[in-house]
Amino acid sequence: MNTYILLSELIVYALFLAFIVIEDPLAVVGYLLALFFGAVVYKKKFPLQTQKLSSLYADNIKQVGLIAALLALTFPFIVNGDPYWLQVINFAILHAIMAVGLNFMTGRAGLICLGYAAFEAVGAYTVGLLTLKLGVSFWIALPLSGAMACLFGIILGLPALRVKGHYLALVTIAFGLIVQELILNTESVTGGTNGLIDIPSPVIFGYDLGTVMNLGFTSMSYLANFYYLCLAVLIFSTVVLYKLSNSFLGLSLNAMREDQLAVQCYGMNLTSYKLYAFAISAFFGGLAGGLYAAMINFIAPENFGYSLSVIIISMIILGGLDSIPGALLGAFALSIFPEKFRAFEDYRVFFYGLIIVLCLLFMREGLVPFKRRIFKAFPREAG
Amino acid sequence: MELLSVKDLTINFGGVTAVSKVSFSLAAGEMLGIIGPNGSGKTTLFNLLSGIYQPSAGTIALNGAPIQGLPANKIFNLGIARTFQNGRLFWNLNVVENIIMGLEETRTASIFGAIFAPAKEKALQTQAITKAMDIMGIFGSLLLNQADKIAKDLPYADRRRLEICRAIASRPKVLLLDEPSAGMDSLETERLMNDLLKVKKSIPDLSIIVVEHDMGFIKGLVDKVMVLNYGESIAYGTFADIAGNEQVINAYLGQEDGR
Amino acid sequence: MAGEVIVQQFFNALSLGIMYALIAVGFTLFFGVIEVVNFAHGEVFMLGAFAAMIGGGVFAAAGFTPGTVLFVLLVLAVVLITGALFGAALEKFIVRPMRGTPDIMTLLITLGASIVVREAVMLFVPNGRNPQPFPQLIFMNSLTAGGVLIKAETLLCICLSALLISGMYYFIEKTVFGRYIRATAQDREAAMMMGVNVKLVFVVTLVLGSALGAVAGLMNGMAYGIIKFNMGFAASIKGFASAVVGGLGNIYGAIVGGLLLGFLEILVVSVVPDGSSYQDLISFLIVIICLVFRPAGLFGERAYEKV
Repeated sequence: MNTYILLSELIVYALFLAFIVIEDPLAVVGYLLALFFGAVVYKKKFPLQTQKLSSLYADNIKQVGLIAALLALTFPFIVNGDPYWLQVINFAILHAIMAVGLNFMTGRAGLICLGYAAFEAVGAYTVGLLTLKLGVSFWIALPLSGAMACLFGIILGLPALRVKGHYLALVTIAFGLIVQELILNTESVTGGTNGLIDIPSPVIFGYDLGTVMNLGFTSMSYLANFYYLCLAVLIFSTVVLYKLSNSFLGLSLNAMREDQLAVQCYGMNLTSYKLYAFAISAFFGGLAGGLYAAMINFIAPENFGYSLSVIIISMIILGGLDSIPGALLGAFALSIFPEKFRAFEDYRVFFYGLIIVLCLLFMREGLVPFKRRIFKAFPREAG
Repeated sequence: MELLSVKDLTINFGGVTAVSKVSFSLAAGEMLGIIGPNGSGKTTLFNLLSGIYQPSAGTIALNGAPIQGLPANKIFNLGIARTFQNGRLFWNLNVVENIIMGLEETRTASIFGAIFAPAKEKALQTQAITKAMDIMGIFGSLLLNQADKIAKDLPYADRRRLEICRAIASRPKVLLLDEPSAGMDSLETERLMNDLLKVKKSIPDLSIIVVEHDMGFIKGLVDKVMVLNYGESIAYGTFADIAGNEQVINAYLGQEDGR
Repeated sequence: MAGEVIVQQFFNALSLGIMYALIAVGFTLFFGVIEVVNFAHGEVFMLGAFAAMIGGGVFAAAGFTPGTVLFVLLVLAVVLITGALFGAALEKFIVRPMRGTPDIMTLLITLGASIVVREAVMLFVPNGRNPQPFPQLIFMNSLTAGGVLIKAETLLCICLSALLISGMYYFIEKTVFGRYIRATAQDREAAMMMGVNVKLVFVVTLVLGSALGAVAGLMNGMAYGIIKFNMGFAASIKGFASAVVGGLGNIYGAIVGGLLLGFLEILVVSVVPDGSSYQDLISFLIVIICLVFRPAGLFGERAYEKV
């Protein structure tokens, strides 16, 4: 284990916890500005160290992920099972799952999607209907929610195959709204506007995740159970998407983003690759939806509207398109930040729009730009 | 047996016939030059051969089997690779990755291999990188020294080299080069000629069709030459055959004041 | 009786269709000339309506009599200026800085801009969250002929839009500057080399297109008497859909596409039982069908990609 990685991650975690603890909105702004300028100054003053650290991270990505996951396990204990913060973080994790999923399609493959929330809706209703109406176990329903979203991804993909850039944006917006309309208009099954109520909580080995987590020395809100569940799914999603991104598939999708005509002239079947991107991306949106349904116990169509799709897009733009760490960071930042400004609840969407515009104007690469390529040449022997 | 034979190839856009009844044939290892003034249909002919456009009439046969009308990706997999006039590299991918996109590993690797068979995927990736580096070796250390550079950061002439590497990575039977010397000065053009000779030497079986604007560039390279004007083939043969052709002189040489 | 209903619905469809056409012309112009799909175009529609509402209030307070020709012209001027300013601002702050970036970036930034504008109206216009009553601008009796009742507003809107659209058409097809615009649309670099001030063409295109979109917003307010901060979203979808149906980049196509969409919507609403709840879905279905079977639009030639 590398001490530098451990140390730097501990510092980041501490800074993150400090951010959670600070309540006063002005102090939050000051804190973030200080962090931002601190980072900028550090980068300017110690370019060599920054470079070293970033390549250290890049070369030991497995270790970095492992340490981060272990640190994440401590979070519920640190906030002492506080249901409010657990709820906020759980939502942030769900957003993060969606952000890494959408990033695969929009960042990696360059296929814009403005209806990603529909996949979450499909996943949520799959789990909701299966567990509530058919009594299927959540543990079977969850993978099915991903699979169902996959199917919808392919359905969306079919008309979308024939269209490019601008049109794809329109088709995906339409898709998002059509899914919402479908849910609204099939009232006998989905409950229409009223949604689905009393979705059962998952039970594992007789332990109901909807009950208080009692550890003997301390007891925590049931949300701690869901924290660990969501975290597990997030880790799974990140690992799978990381591996796919670094495979031949990831490379091909990257090339497709660069030039759709040229990849066809290099033997790639555009149709199937676009469908892979749609399906894979949709799968993770579905998983997030499934978790959402089980955690909140209540779903309604308005939870999965166009603005959610836009929020997820703004997360991956802030973090940096095609960057998995960026998507994670963007999701956490944009999910937690507004919680500090609950007095300005109305400004939330305005703020997301502003983030998109400002990032694209002044920070096109995002907070964590994707610099490392998938394939690298071997070092050659001298001579 | 001819490797590639093209008969009466024609395409109409709206009312305009961009390529009209072009015929030629190519044996393995042969090199054909296609010249003609701007707008004479050279690039359109390439787009037909590589499957980007579907011909309105005529046939294209590779090893005797008809391939006209097939989509671009199938034609590539059958062994016809091309470069583009304005260089369509994958600009944000690095040099190695650009070449790997031409390798067969990229298309034969299992889609979810990285998840279900990680060891196999890893081995394939190593193999692909090795192959890509071998191919770069044709140009000595020129590209190898920049192997991890992003394509858009390459100097102009090296981009052209990379395009050629990417195209031959698939070990095609026919290589289509679309104005490889476009935008180069005479020194660079000369180096490019040497490069092409190197490619020919390292893959003797490779047939090459090169579209050019510049007669001088082609002269020392090709076995046969075809002259296009307004989409029609007005002369076809060795250089000596067409040198005295009056039509060619009028259509092409007569107006070569621009270059 | 049925005949009268048909005539009445015909006018409804015409005014709806021509409103879509006004928005679609903007989309198609931006795409043709600047190669941008402007997702913020719906917001100019909303801003036009709000400008008319606020301008109308101000002029009435300043002593102009609502209903007079002068009053209507003043309001129209305010709407046009608002649209033009919005277009110019969009060009300067959003479109120009993004030139040379991938399509997806430009698209996303116009999307972001549309959210900012929409939410800003909601937040900063007094009581902006709620629907706003649109003031009555003209006081003319509805026309009745043989039992058919047509609102004067409807007729006025149809005439006004027809006038604006034909003016736009004339400008682009017949004037020197229009020729510059067409030249830029066809081949930007060639136009630049021939001495066309492409930057100016971009500005003018965005200004004109946005001004037309703003008028569409005014029409919407007059027709329905109620406006809301989020009305731009549906409008942009409809306008974009019309432009796509007609073939993006084709002005004539955009006009026909808009009318087609308007007539289809009214047809479905009046023929299909409970059709009004499907009204919005129609445009999507049309667009998707159109994109799948005629990707270049009804009037577009098959596009050959430049290689």
